[in-house]
Amino acid sequence: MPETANRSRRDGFRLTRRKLLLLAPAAIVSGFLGFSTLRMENTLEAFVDTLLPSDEFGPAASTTGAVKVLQAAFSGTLLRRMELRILTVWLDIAAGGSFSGADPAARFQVVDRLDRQSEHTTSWRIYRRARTSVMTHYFGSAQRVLAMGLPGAPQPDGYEAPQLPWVGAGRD
Amino acid sequence: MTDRVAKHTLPRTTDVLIIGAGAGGAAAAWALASRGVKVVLVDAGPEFTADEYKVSDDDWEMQGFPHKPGSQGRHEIFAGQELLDRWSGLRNLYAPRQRRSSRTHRGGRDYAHVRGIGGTTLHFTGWLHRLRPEAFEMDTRFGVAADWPLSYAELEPYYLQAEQMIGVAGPATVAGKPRSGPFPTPAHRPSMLSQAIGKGAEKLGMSFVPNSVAAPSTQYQGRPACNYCGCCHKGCPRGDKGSAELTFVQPAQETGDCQVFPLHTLIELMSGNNDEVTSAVVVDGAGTRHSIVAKHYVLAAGAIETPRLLLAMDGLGNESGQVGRNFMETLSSSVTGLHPDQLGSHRGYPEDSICWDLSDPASIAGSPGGVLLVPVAASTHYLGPARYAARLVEGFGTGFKRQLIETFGKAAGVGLICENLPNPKSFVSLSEDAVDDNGMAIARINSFLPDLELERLAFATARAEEILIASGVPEVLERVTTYEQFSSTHVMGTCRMGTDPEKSVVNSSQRSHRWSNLWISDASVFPSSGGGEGPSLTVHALSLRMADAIIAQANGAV
Repeated sequence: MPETANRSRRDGFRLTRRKLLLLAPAAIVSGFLGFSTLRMENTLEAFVDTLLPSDEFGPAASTTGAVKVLQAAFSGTLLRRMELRILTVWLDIAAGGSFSGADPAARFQVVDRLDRQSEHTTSWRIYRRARTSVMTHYFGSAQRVLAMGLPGAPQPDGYEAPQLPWVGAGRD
Repeated sequence: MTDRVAKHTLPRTTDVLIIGAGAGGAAAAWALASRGVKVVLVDAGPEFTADEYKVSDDDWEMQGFPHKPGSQGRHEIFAGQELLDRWSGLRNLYAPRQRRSSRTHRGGRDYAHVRGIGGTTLHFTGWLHRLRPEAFEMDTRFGVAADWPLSYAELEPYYLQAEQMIGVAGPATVAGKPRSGPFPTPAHRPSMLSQAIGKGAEKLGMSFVPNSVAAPSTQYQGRPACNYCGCCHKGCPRGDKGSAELTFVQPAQETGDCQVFPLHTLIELMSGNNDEVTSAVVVDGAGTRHSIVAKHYVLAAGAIETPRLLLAMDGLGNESGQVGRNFMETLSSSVTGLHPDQLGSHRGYPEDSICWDLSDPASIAGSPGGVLLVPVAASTHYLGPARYAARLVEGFGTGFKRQLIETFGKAAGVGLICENLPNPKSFVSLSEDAVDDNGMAIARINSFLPDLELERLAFATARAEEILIASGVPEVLERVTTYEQFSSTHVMGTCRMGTDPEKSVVNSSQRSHRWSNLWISDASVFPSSGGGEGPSLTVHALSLRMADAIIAQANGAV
């Protein structure tokens, strides 16, 4: 598909401020109807596992408590809680009704659209906030990153002292 | 240091009462107690123990310094100048996508400090720098700031003494800063990040040389050599970093003549008719007030709290009207990108090298004041993969994890700190409506950066970007400056020292011009900031020198 077509297709999913306002009532109504908590959690679980799936590098994010971390990150104010709800509603709509019910490839495409949106869109900012909280939680565990082959906690062992001498102006 | 702190009640009398156990108070306490002077050292903040520093925990990366009740003073920051298009090169860029903020006015982010036994040295990176001789003569040479009422040569023996107490690691020589003796331990060898940035600088005719830092490179007086974890700012659990509670407070206590009281807050200094302070009122952590009579009183609460205390105590010592004026802050920026080579930039002593090429205050035409540059990764928090994942590496999914593993260790940056000259719009005053737990007004930090400052910062930031690119980094992904947000680690100048009682708060020995037993021993006495150097070593040295003056006065020599 030509790049221009890709871009216009992405723009169709772009969450503008206007579209956000249109989504807000749906998010509110879904909250009042009460049936949405489980569904929202399912969507969030699928979302964090799309960000960080189970693979050769480590476990799926949902098994590490990432959903609770995400909810906590968006719990500070009514606006924040609304943003998280809007994110889930958007994910469900973009996936054709149920993000968690979609197959992994379809979920990947939906999140990819969010990830590639302009940084000036509200939806991208909400996505980035969600992504940041999940990433810092997931990679903020020394044990987990150690299992990936990355360095764990720097103490008590520290790191090996640099070996090369100073050269040029810095030499003693 | 739990067992080292006094468990008894505050005595009613002492020779010297020191308020503040940071760089200044700690050094003064040791210098006095080691010569048989009875010292009581109080601090509004708590003590910290090695097991509180979370550098071994599973979530170590996202942990900062382990602040706890009392370890930070409350303050307000007013820094709302309009951000102008002409300084677009000083606007922040945020990864990913080099985003700019929509901010139209400068914000107030932070005044990074620790209240407690050891003070801000508990979380400092450990730069221990002397100022250049020229920095003591900024008025004479350039017509800016003020001259110091002492010379580099007068301070040099105290610099050396402080370096030896701490076990500073440094090179054989530092250009432009004459020495009467060597650093006690050799310079740390350069990290790969330092080498890469140094190579970039060389292409531009500049050079990075070993930095002088507080963690010894070899075992020193019972302290281990640094093991290069890069986490100085989170608190050093091994005790290799020479923070003041280890290098000065502990030796002071070992003399048997220094008692230390954390969580004890000064609320009043009583004065008499003979131009002497007669007693102090201190409130302990349980809220009990204690009166203590000393022969001498040393304020060492830092350049925000010291003027705040004086102003809140009916302007004691403010006969000149200069208390709180001449505030100088950290004028700084950092630029970061991804280096093509695997540098392992999370390892090594943070900022183990430094570029002094612009530290002469005459370096930048039309904007007097020095600048220093350092390689950065730890101080921009690229010590673990979480920050990489959140900021530098885009995407998600399995491919993202693979990319993160490949990228980790490649963050490379250049940071800088400039001279900051005092100006009338930068000062510390009292809050109009906010008070602390004792009912005293909290500090209000007023910060403004005139064009002269911004020209220096813009020049230096552009140089930093050139060095970074020359080192092989293809593009700047992040830029953070204190133009866009006030964020200060070094604060200075608010109780200036000088010879003229009309224009300064303390004399060349750091004694109040009027009050014959009131002394100030922190960076508030600095008449100029220096060219970005960490102020701690100069505070130490000044305090050692001040202790000599106190003893001389007590002996009737002054």
